[in-house]
Amino acid sequence: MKVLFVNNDGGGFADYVEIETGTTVKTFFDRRCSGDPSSYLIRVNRQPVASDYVLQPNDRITITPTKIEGAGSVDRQFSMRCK
Amino acid sequence: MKRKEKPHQKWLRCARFVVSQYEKANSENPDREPKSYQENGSRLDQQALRMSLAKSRRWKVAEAKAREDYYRELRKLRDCLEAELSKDVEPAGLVANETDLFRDILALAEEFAEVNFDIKAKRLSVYTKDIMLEDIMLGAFEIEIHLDTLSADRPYYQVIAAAANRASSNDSVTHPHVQDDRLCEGEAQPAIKLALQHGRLLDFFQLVEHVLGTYNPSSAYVTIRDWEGMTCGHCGHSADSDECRECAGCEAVICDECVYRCNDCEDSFCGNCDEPCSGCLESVCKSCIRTCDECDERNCSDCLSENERCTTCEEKANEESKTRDTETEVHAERVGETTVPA
Repeated sequence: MKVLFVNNDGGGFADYVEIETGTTVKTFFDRRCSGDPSSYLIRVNRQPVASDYVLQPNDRITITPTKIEGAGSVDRQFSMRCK
Repeated sequence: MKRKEKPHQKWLRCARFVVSQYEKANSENPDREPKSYQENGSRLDQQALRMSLAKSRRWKVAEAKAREDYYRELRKLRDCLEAELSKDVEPAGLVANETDLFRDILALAEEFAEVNFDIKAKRLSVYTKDIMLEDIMLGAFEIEIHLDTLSADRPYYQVIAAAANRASSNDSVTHPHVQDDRLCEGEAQPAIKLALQHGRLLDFFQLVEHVLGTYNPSSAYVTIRDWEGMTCGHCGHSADSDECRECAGCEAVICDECVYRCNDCEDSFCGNCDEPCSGCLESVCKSCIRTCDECDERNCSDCLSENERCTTCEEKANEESKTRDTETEVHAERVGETTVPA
């Protein structure tokens, strides 16, 4: 089955991905992401869910890091880490 | 009497407005139309023909020129094709529709303390919770996006401190990564750009909020350590940044009261990287100070002679030299003579 995976980590990614029926949020995270799940805001269909929530066809799962480093400099337009 | 609008109606209007902005952008953007490259192809064929003609007639100079022109055309075509291919970034079906946007806005109302939509000003904004970085309370921020710029390459948004606790050294800095109400997105830049391209407003606001909640001291407009002024590494007192400087020796922050200027190189130093010249008592940094060859006293360059002696040792050496000279006058050398007492 297909779910929409929005990964806001790093360069960003949003596309439909194929997963096995019965995949939980925890399994999905372990397979697709690295790091500690507590460092991410995980939402399914824009709502918080338990880690054992079983993903349903066409669910939209969004993973956003809770800590993202900003920068500061003259050239904000074009550089990621400007200083 | 004017009927009061229900919140859901307001958010639905907002979603419709945002969709209309994306649709407008798509219809107005000529880049979305497929382009023909027939003209580029014809020019390329022409140059290829010139090149083979020159080659067959053994016109070396003409062949070289035709080759140059051919490859220039080829590179031009390659650049055009690459630019066209780079526009194909959105997989079909991923750009938010009215329902997606409506759900995003409803979720915003759940995630954030306050959500405002001003259709006249074409602005949608949310308020974050109070943000505290290390021990400094920066308060809440309003993240406000100008919806009429959603079609721009970089949509315009502002991050406005609700009750600004500005950096003492720079009034325009309300957060280590916000200056003049603009966020320096840092690592979030690509994700924010993509979220706005796809019309994922909830993701956009959450990404900005998470950047605001994160402190990156290695790349801040003003670091939290210096937020309420800089601490002098010598006397320990706090001072504005324009009243402080960095020691050219050890890079410690020192206030104007504690700074020493080296008499030789004229750089600024702290008390640990500077010492007085034993001759004139002026300040000299450890790189410039030199030791007298005779007495080991430390001196500035002005107080040290060409012979690397301090003033006292130089005078002493001169006197000794004079005495030797006087003695030499009565001792004729290498003539087999000697003085005889009368």
